[in-house]
Amino acid sequence: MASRSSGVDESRSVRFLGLLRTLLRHGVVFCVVGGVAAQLEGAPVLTLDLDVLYDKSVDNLGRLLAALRELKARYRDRAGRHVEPDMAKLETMRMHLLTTDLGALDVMAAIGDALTYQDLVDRTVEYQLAEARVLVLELRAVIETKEYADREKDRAVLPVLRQTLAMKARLSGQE
Amino acid sequence: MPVRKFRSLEGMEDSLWREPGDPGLLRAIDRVWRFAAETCPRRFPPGVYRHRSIEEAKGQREAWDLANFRAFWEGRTAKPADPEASRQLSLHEESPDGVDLTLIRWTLGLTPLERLEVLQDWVDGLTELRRGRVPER
Repeated sequence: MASRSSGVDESRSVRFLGLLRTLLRHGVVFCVVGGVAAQLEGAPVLTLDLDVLYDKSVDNLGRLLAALRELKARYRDRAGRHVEPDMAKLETMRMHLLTTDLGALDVMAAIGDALTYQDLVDRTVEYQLAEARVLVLELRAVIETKEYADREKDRAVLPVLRQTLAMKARLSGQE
Repeated sequence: MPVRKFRSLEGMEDSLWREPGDPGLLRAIDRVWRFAAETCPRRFPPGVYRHRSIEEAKGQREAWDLANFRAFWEGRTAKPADPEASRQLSLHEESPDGVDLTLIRWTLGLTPLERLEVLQDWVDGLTELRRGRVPER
């Protein structure tokens, strides 16, 4: 049952690895951003959805749409309407806040100051997660996007992210 | 799992209490111990030890704890350079802006996959809590 306030099915938790596997199986070109990127980079932060930044090339949009269809993705809609993503929306809209069979998934064409996948791909690190290799936005870039967004929830998590970055620097300096 | 309604947080916490003999208690203990064993395994030399005083016994225990702490870091990619650095890290538990540094240090000691699994555990736990109560509207 979807919550009327958020449009998210709160009775089921998001399956992070399952979502990533589905995107990778369809060959989607993307990187993980947001809270999951921060956690993978070592910052202990809680997030209830997976945020990914996708490459907007036409071929990739087709692969992304196929993955979203397999996941039965639809927009989180407070009014409870059933609206599915399509090529036109993926091409033109910047943010897609979706609910899927594996939980909440936010797919984005740009983040922060209109930064695209191509702008940020050089600031990603590759992680091996079980059999999946995924690109993850580096912690410093995550911090910059949160600083740019400057919402209350972003400001709340910034001290943890900055302390994590500082501790990573200290530990790598001691190696 | 049935939907349950609570009038207060205290009432919700009471519902999590498990009495001795409850199979749910054993499952909860098993889950906590497994999680600890996977994320931070500890080793103690087997055998029976005699001590002349409580202080001496505590000293032995602290030495084992320190050895376990060092072993934990040695098994990870990020590690302090020397025991004194470990000691310094373990003494500063909170940053001036109130961030729990022990949690960050622990998370950094995990592999990326383990970090994702920890996040999944947190989310699953939160979802269980949400299932267990109906929010007041």
